[in-house]
Amino acid sequence: MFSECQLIKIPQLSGPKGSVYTILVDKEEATAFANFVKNNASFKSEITDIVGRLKTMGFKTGFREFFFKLYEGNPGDGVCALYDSEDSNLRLYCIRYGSQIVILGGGGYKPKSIRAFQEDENLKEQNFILRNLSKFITEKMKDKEIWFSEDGLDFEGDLTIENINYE
Amino acid sequence: MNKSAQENFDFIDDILEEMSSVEMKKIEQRMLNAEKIRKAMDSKGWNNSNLLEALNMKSLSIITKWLSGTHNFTQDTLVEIGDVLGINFFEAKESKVTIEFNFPIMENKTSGFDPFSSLAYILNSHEINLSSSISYNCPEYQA
Repeated sequence: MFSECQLIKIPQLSGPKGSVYTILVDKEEATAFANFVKNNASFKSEITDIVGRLKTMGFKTGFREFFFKLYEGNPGDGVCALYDSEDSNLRLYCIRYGSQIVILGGGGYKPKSIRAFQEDENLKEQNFILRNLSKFITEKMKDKEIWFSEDGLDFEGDLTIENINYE
Repeated sequence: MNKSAQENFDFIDDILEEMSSVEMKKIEQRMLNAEKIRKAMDSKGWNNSNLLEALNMKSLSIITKWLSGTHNFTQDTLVEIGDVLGINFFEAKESKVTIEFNFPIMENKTSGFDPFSSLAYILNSHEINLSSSISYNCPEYQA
């Protein structure tokens, strides 16, 4: 859980087809995606592939739903994971907003022994951060504190999301 | 909130710089193939099961893998998919061809056009003598 979360656009991966955002949670030194890359540096080829795929989506295809593993959160909250095959090692959680915006959360090593992410504490935590974030973004959108840009490629408004229930 | 993290995505530049252009093209092509398949399926109103059935295959997960943009297709598979979906993965892309025509710039003679003097100009410039010609005596030209 978090008390405050900031949405930050990643310019290198954002292009005419869509924008990639990540999150900076509370007092963390780095964004969730930076931590994901840093903590999984041993899976270099998978990280390279993930960055290449995200850039291709931002610049050429958009964040089409078939590039993701859908329904990883609560119904309708858009929480998903970048597609990972059975033999891959990493799982990266995201929130999709149509094919034009994606928010990258955290993720990590996906042990072969587990059948569901709930069995892994780190993956479970990263997944629930995005579930909560999605809920708060929806509330802020209803309150017109955050909205999509006219071309649908960006978030506008107050991109700092506070968790009013945090204790 | 650490503001420096907002703009510090140098690590992404590092990853992209380390990646060869061929490696990037491979990733792009896998995703573009997936997108092409999905679009063709949509235009036929097909879901994954329809494509599986058309290909006479059994494992639905292979279609999901193909559409994920991570699959390295063999040429044979692309031919088979293209055949059932009515698309061609190997045709050359349509490219825009620009053909330039250069015409000599002609002096605009339409303003104050005098057909008789224009004819005289042409005849003089080509040293044509039509003094006995019927056409030269045409009343229209003498008007």
